[in-house]
Amino acid sequence: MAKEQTDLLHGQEQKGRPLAYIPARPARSLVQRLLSFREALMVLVILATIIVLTILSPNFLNWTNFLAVSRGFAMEGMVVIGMTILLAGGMFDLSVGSTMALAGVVCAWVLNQGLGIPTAIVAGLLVGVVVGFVNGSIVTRVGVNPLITTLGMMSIARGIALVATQGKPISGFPKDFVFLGQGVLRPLPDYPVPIPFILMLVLVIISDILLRRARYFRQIYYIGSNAKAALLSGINVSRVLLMSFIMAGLMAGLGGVISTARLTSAIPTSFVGVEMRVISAAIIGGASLAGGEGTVLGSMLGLIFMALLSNAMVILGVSVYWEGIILGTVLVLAVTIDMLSRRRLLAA
Amino acid sequence: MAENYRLEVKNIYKAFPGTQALKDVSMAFRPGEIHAVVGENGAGKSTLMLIIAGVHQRDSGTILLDGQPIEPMNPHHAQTLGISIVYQELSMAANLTIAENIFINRQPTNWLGLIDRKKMYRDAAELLSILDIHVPPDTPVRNLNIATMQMVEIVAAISRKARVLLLDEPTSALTEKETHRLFESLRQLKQEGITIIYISHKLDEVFAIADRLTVLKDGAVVGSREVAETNKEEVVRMMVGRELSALYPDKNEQRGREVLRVEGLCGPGFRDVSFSLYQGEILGVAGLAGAGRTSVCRTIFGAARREAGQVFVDGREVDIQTPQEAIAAGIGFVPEDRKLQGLFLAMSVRQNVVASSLEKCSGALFMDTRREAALTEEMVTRLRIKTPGIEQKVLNLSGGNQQKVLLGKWLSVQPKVLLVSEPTRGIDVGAKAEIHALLRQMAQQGVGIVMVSSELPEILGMSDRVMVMHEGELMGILSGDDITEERIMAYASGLRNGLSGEM
Repeated sequence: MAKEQTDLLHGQEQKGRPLAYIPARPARSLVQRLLSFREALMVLVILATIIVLTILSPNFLNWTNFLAVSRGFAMEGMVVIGMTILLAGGMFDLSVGSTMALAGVVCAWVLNQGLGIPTAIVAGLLVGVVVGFVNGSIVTRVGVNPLITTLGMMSIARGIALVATQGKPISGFPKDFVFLGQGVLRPLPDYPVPIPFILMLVLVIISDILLRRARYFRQIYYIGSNAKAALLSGINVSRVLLMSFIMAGLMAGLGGVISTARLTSAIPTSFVGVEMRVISAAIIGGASLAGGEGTVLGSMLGLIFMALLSNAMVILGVSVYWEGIILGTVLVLAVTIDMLSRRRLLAA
Repeated sequence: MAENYRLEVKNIYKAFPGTQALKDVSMAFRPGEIHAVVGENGAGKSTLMLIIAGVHQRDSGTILLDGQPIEPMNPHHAQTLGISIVYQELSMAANLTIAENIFINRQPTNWLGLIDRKKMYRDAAELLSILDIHVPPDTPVRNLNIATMQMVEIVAAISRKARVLLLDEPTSALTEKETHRLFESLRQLKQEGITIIYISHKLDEVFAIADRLTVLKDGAVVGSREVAETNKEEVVRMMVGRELSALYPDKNEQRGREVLRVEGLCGPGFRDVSFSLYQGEILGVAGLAGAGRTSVCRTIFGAARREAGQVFVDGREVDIQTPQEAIAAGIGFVPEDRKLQGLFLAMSVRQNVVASSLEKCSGALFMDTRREAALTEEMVTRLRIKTPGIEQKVLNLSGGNQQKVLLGKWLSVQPKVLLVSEPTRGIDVGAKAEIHALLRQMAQQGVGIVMVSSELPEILGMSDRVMVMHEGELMGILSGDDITEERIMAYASGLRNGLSGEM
């Protein structure tokens, strides 16, 4: 329809009707505007924490400490990408920890069958894809809510890993495989960077850009914001959500494979509670269980902040038993501050 | 004046950041009167009610109840003073029973301090009988229809010994019959000396029920009238400064070729519907709630399952199973519930406008922010969407502007057919006229429009032809001089033969 539509409403006078009230936004200062970006706020908090820790302990700001922190951090960094995608769509996945364990076990089993490293990696990733596909299908086609679905899957995936291994770790991998988890690159001679960390960084950058800018991922935010409206706007809600679950599963699978390489064994009982840490990190970083919000960068910042706090406790010699209390407090505090600032905005 | 007022507000001021919501508002309400407060959205009606009910606090001014100054601190406090509010959105616990809802927080207890269920149900039944509600008080509220829920809320308010009852758009979800029942009840309460403050957009209702009315405009009182001494034209003038006759745009004289044909369509709640829609035409769909009107639209749009029948666009048969396919075929759909099904409230004007045009605003992979902004700016200008900017959250816009954003979304995809359901529900008079002008303009640009509406004046004022449905059945399609209130109502009530004499 090549109609001239530009003059639509042209010449329709308003017939003396006064303009409706537009609540004018009070001018906001630069600082306020900065603070309104969750990510900027997170960066400030993280910088402040780093400064405080550097002052408190000479052991904090050095490369050895970075290496120690970055290894475990990298796996969760991969998983948080998938979780952020799901949260943006108003979903979440509690089975990621179990999926990591199962992917690791399957990967290790294939390795020990002598089928080669690439096959083993693909097998591990495939576990994640299958778990994501099953989760996504049950949620989108059958309509079971994601809490029940992924809670069930959390048990099932863990159960399969335990049954298959009889609870015993699998180890004895080729060196090239272990390199994936333990190897380092040296961009500067004295500063080795672990391979998992580099892998994570690449994935984070790509996925952050995709989530911000790609058309496909924009659909996820629409779905998270209002699934009914998204459907009526012509978005294939079921398919996009199914893909999101698959991506979350894939990231968990990858995390499991790389962890297996790093730990040189696949431990069926490991990665318990990863899902909660990752969901917490994403929410601290600006995602919401209600959907429609969150960025990979924000979630990463949340994860960095949590890792910093854990690390601080180690360095400052605080008993590890405090960790849960402190991280839990941070989570609730972050959401509370967010709610309060929103309420103020809404009242305005 | 020596008159005894039940409730008086004097010189009320209230500002929200950026807006002066109420300016020097004074009103007086007599005992045993139904007093309507009318005005456009944003005129300050709801703000005033919320201040009286203790939800908001005023900046200055006084509130007198029976001549005594009161300070309603919160809704509970207002209730203890005898002021109860029934909100526009129903606020009951759906899984609890009627009685539990009526006595929420103050259930009668026995000597153990446990809830005395027998007494609670007995008392509830008694209260319900006052308003002639014959539903067992142990019915869960979710099983009630909206009218009964509304009545139950009113019963709850009365049971709290309310002397002043605030009703905010109580009929927005009611059918005509249910509205009548509500009115009966209100008249009864009036007899008992209760002061009823009634907020509504619908002037017909105000004239049917109210004794007096006060017009608010831009946060200030324009004036009060005895209903018996005024007429709708005057009230509309007071509200917007415009005559009623100017409300609807001119109709279309000639129509183009057929853009949509539906044959023997069956879907959830309707069967065997056939009609054609022409370029440039607005086809009104009238009928009572539950007649299946919106269901027809949803089915054509692929949002509800098509059980039988064929749909043709531009003479070619299309097999539409999903909204994507409908959009690809050139069909758009504006659902009746803006907030629940239409808008992404927490997202910006830009994101809402481009929601159905993502491909148009992107390259192979990435969104093109500049194209998004350009398209949105174009829609904001063309549709006169009043917003501080395209990045404003839709949440912060008025109902009329939200509806324009939705229309902008569909205008962006340049559909051949636009299905709109209740395009002006809950929108103030001025914005309504703008939406109407817009729909007519779109039709003039060649779009075929199917407009479902429960407001008869809108159907009469807008439609080139009117299709009337009754309980899932297409009763007939009226055109030209046959489009009369009587015919539509007869068809809508299922009286196909009732008018056979003149047909």
